Amino acid sequence: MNSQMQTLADLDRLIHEPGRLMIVSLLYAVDQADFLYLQHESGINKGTLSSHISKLEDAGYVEVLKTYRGKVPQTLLSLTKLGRQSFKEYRKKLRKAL
Amino acid sequence: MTNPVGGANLLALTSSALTIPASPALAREREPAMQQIQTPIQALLNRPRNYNNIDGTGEISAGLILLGFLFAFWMQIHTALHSFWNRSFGSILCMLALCLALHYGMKAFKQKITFPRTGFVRYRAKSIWYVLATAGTTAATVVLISRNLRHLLDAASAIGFLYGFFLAVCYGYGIARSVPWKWRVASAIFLSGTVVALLPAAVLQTLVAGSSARNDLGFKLIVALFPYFLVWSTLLLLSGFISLVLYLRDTRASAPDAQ
Repeated sequence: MNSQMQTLADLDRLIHEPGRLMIVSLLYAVDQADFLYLQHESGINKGTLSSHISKLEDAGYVEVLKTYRGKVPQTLLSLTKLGRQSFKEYRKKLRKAL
Repeated sequence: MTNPVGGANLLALTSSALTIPASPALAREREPAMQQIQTPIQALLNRPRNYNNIDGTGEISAGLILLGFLFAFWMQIHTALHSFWNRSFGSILCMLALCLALHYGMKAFKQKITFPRTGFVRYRAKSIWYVLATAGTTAATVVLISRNLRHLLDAASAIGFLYGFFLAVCYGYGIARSVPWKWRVASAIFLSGTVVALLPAAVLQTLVAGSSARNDLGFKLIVALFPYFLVWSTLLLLSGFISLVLYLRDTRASAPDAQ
C-alpha cells in the first residue's frame, strides 16, 4: 500500500461520516453548544443527530451534559480534548490525502 | 433560515474528493476538489462566529454605542464649558453606563429570545495573546491620535474617508460574508463616509450653530466625528433591525421537549 493509500486508510472513520463531521466541526469552534443549536446549524433531524452524538460520546469525542434552562430541559455538548485532537488530526490527514 | 452547508452536499463533496490522483497532473486537477471540501468545513468552523449576529443584535449593539457617542458629543457641543458633559468623567460615566446596559440587555435578549429559537452557544475564551495584542494596538492608536490631533484635524476628510473604507472592509469581512444582502450595507458605510468627507466645512458648522463653540482641539474633533457617527449608527441600526425582524419572522421558539 503506497503512502497516499495509507493516509486515506488512516482517516478517522468516526469523524469522516458527513453528519458527524458537521457536528464535530461546529463544536470545534465553540466551548459549548446545545442540541437545538446543532440541529439548527446542521439541518440534521433530531433522531439522526441524537444517534450521531451517542456514537461520538461513546468514542469519548463529545461530552454530553443534561441540564435545565429554567424549567426547560437542555442538552449541552462540548468536544473533549480527545475529540479536538482527533479532529485536528483528521483535517491534517485529509489535506495530505488530497 | 437557509443552511448553505447541507449534509447531502457535504456527502457528495466527500465522495467525489476522495478519489486517489494517479499522477502530479491529476493531483493538480484535484486542487479544486480539495478547496471544495475545505470550504464546507471552514464554513462550519465560521458559523458559530456568524451566529452571534444571527438576530442582528451585534449590529444593534454597535449602532447603539455609536448613538451613545453621538449623544455625548451633542451634549458636549450644546452645553456650557464647565457642565457635567464637558468634564472628562461625564462622558466616560455615560459610556460606561451605556456599555453595561447593552451588555446585560443583550444577554437577557439572547436568553429569552435567541437561545429558545435557534440554540445556545458559549464561545471559546480568547487567548491572552489576542487580548494583549488588541489592547496594545488600541492603546498605541489612542496615543498616536492624541499626539497628532492637530495634524489629524487638518486632514479630517481624508481620515474620515479612510476610516469609512476600513469600517466597510471590517463589516464586510465580519458580517456581510455570511449574509449576502449585507454587502449593500458595507457599500453604504463606505459611500456615506465618502460623502461626509466631501461635505463642505460650512455644512459641519451648522451642527455647532447656537452652541458654546470653542477653539480647542477636542471640540473640533467632536464636530469632525459627529456626521460620520450619525450616518454609520443609522446604517448599523437599520441593518440590525431588519435582521431582527427577519429572524423573528423565520424562527419559532422550540417546544420544551425539543431537546
